[in-house]
Amino acid sequence: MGGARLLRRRLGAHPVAVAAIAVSVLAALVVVTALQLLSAAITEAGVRSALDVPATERSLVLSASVRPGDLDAVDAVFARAAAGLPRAAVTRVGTATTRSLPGRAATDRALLADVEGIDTAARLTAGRWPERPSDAAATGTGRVEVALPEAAATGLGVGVGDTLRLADLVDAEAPVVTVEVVGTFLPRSPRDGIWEDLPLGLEGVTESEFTTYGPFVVGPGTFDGPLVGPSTVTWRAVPDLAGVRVADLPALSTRTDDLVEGLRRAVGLPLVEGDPASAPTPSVPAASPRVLTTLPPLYAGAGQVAERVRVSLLTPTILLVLLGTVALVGAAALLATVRDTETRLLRTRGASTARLAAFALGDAAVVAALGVAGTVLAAPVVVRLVSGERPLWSTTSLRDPVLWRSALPLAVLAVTVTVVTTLWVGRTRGGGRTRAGLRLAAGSGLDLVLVVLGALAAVQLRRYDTLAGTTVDPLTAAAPALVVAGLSVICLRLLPVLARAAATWGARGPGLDAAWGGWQFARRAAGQGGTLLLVLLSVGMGTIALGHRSTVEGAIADQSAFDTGAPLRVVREVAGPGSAGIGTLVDRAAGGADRVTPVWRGAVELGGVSGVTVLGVDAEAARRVLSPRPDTLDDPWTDVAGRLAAGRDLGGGVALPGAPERLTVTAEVVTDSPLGPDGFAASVRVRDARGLVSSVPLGAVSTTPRPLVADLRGLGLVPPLAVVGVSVPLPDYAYYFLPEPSFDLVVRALAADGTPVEVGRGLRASSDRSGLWLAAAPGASRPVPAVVTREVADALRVGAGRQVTLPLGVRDLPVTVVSVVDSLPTAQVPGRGILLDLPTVEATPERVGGGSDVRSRSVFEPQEWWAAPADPEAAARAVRAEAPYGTTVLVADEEAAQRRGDPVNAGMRSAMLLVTLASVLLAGVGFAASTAALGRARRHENAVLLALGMPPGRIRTVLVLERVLVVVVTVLVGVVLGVVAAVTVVPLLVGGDGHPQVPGVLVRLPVGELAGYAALLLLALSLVGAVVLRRTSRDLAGELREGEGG
Amino acid sequence: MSGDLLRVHDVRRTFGSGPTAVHALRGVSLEVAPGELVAVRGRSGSGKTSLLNVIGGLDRPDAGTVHLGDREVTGMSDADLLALRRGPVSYVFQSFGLVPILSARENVGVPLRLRAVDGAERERRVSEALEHVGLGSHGEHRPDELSGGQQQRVGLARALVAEPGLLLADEPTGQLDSETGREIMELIARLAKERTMTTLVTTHDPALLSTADRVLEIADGHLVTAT
Repeated sequence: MGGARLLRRRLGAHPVAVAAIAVSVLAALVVVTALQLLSAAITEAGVRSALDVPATERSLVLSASVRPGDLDAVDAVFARAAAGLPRAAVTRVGTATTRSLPGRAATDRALLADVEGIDTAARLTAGRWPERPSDAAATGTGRVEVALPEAAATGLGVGVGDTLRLADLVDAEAPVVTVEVVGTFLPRSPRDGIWEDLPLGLEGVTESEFTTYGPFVVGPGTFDGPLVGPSTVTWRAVPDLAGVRVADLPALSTRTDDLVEGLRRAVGLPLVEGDPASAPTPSVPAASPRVLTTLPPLYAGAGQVAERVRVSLLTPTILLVLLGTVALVGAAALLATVRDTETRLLRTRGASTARLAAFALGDAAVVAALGVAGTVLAAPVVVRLVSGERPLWSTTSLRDPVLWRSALPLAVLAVTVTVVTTLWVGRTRGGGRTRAGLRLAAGSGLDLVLVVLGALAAVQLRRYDTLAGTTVDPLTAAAPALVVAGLSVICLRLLPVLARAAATWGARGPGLDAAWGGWQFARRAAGQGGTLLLVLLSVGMGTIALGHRSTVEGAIADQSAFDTGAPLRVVREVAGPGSAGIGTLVDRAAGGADRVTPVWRGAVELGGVSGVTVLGVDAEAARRVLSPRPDTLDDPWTDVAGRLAAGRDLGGGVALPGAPERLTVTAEVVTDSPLGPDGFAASVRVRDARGLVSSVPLGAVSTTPRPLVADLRGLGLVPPLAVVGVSVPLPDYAYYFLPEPSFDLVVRALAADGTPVEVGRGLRASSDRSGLWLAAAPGASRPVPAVVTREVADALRVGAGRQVTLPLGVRDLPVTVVSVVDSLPTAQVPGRGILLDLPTVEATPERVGGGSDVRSRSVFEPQEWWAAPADPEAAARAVRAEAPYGTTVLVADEEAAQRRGDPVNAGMRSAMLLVTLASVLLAGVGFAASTAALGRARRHENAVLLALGMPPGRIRTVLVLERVLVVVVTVLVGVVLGVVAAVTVVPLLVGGDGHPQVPGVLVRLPVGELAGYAALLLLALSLVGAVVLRRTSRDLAGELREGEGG
Repeated sequence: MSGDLLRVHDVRRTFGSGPTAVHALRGVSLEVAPGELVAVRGRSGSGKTSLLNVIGGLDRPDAGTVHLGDREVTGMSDADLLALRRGPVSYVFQSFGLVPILSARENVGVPLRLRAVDGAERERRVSEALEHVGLGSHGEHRPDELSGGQQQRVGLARALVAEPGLLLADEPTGQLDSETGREIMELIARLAKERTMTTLVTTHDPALLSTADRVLEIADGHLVTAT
């Protein structure tokens, strides 16, 4: 007989068993290959996500002081370096020393800037961009065209077509330059790299001792001429990393290192950090050069993300391979069992083991080839199906190397498993050695070894979680799979104990059914090993997959809540016209001020810990608005927030009637100094019903009493209001005329919307060299309650009830820790934060009292508003519709939706769905095969029972119940095992996108879904068992006829 | 329990159809008196097992009747046939038919469990049956711990424990050496006599036929001779 014909006959003789093998091989190959394809896709998506950072975080920067004639040379050097980066966009920002503005306030300043690429970073709101200057303009004798940020133009009171004069503050001989405003603009995005190099461009005006306007953006080439002299220039190259793939990262990293070294050589910077001797001779003239880049750590981080994704998906892959192998062993054992007679006959007739192996190899190769063919067609479809991609099929999929790299080795593995199982089972009828192998695995302590290895590897993996840059070795990566496999084998150890109890219970009665089931379960326990392992692995994987999905959902909600702090977060990114009214806007959109807490944000260094975010909130409102995850707190949030606001004492103040829009303060400065008529800028401090203090400009107070008006509209003040202070900082020149002048601030009258208000003794006057102020009586002198994160508390070695000093504002603030929490939302460095009640802070003697520099005594002005509206999305729409430029509106639900759509999260979700479905499929196939093998093995025994008078229906029922019992017990044990494994494994799988998880990952097991999954598996396997056993229990009498041979 | 008169009349049984049909029994008729030990000999595939299966109600004939005492086996419902095999009719198999995971006692107790005989009574009868076949001290042994002859004795004890009126033994010595086979046949004969149990034994070993009261020969589904 020819080989092909023999093969065809062998395969055709036992179609059910061969089909079981084929389905096992195909299912295992398809799902594992699909998982590999998904893994590759998610890895690439993860890398893209990791590299998708703001321009400032993916830049190569050179800054230096450059003389006008040298700009081109440095330009060329940087352009060469930038060309080495993938599709880099280059910007150049040059700034000159500030100019004064003759005819305006003496403290007004103007900043000239030459910005290459301004048209991409900003949009014109009026006019046009300035053009290259004429020769006259370049030398300062003609008009120089400039464009101004809107805020600067508004602040200066100029528009397109207006001119201003700028005078050099350093060179008194230099001519006064006339600039013509030809355009006004608004930055497109505050995160654009140009504004990192030119922050004034975002706000247009900054106020300190001087008020600086700008930048006055000049036309191209203006800085090349003699107009400004040496300028500070920053070149920034921002590469386009959208097309970067995992495989590109090492080369990109090396190339970037080379480019940085090349730039350092060109400008003469030391090539060895801290070793000036290693500095080469510069090839271009650039003073005080600096070369900065965030690209190498960015590439390293992306590489780690790729590694994390691979590691995360390695677990389900290993488990699927294991599950597929067990299913395949079951199917191959079935084939070997049904071929038992044939094999024995062949052996009797002299067939060697090698010959039998060759037969088995032929069978397995045909099945594996079909499996590979099916896999290359089906795996890409499965991937697209679970990912929701369309179309489901494309011929380009066939060219994916991952497809073949996965399918072919798996096919070889399948062939090996099939051949070995066939030979193994064939040598001892009924798969005794396989069972012995499992007994050996359990008895030899392999299970314990697996669990210990898994635990060690899990610890290592958790360490990897916290140590960036640690390489994940294969053992560590396999930790979760080892844990699951080890726990599964441990269950095999426990099975005999359970089975003995079942046998004793079953044999107690007079009937046969229970006794029979008990005996079978107890005395053929090892024979159930394959089934048990199969179901355990399946349930374990399903539990991990469901737990992962649920935990990721929870983690996404947690991370979104951490990023937003509340259901709605509105951030004032840029101070400017209208920004003061954001609070009012948010209050209105949220449905009332009681649903909103303004938030002030600062950063301090505490106990050697830097970057500690300080959040000042209205604790009363925060109690309702914030809802931190309970497990991150020691006590309920309402209690914690209550402690923050406990004993809040806002001190004194002059109460204002109604809800005033205008506050008129009639004040004067009484002095013996011969001051000019301009006077000094004054401001009034108003506290609203929430206890928040706002500083409102009053204009200039002079030596003659005059009414100064504070516009209270649009400041987000919640009435009733109270005046708590008036401040007048004194500039240094106030002391030019007399060595020890005396200054007193006197408020003659106060009126709210024209209604006189009695000041009385509500405000007390004080002064020092820095300024004059009137202040209401402060609140009680006691430490401010504070909520501190655990990391900060540990660094300070304090706990609840202990007092620490917070370097906040001009004077240190004593605070008492009232609660320690794991994390505070929106903290810049996760885990490092302090939360305070802002009204309490503003009323402390340290904030209200004197002894500090008045010039620096600004109020803690909220930059954010956190709200809990009934409908956050509607509220967000309302805020977005009216919010001024520079306002960012974040909605927790939108953030969560965005995270859910993140390719890594979406991919992992698809992968886990695939794992769940695959585990059920493989368990079903494997269970069917092992049940069929069991049914066949028991046929003779059952035929004897039939001969002894046991009804065939009862024989089948007992057999089915026996299988169901195994499934029920195993599923229940599997769920417990799965939960243990999920708690161990899932935290390692979540956060595969490389983003830090704050607050920490909380494993959430969906009880309902798990119960449904277990019930589905139980039902499916029971049905499979019943159907298969029905087939194998047919015509038992015939078994006696065949068996006895007469 | 005393034996029953067994009457088989013109029993026919064909497996399959068309050209591949196997005519296992082609009009077999016989009678076995109560307490009589009848041996049926014939080659492999001659129809011996088919005949026993039809008599014991494990299979239904295409035609013909089987009477056991005054009951027509061939007209019984499935439930009645099962009840028949739980009591009046017992089997002994060539391959012993023992459950390998059960001890000798447990194997022998299976028919009693099928009849829900209570524990103490069951244990007493099992002990008695084992004593009868000379295995009183081997009750806790599993089949693989017993010799072939001992296994068949356990099979015999299991058949006897239900106190049948008709014992059907299909090649009970087929897997035993000749000496052991002879011992088993003598045991069957002794027990059949002691219990006046109607016994039908199939065999193809001429040396064992001497223990039978009567020998029938079957070939190609026909009873061809009787001695």
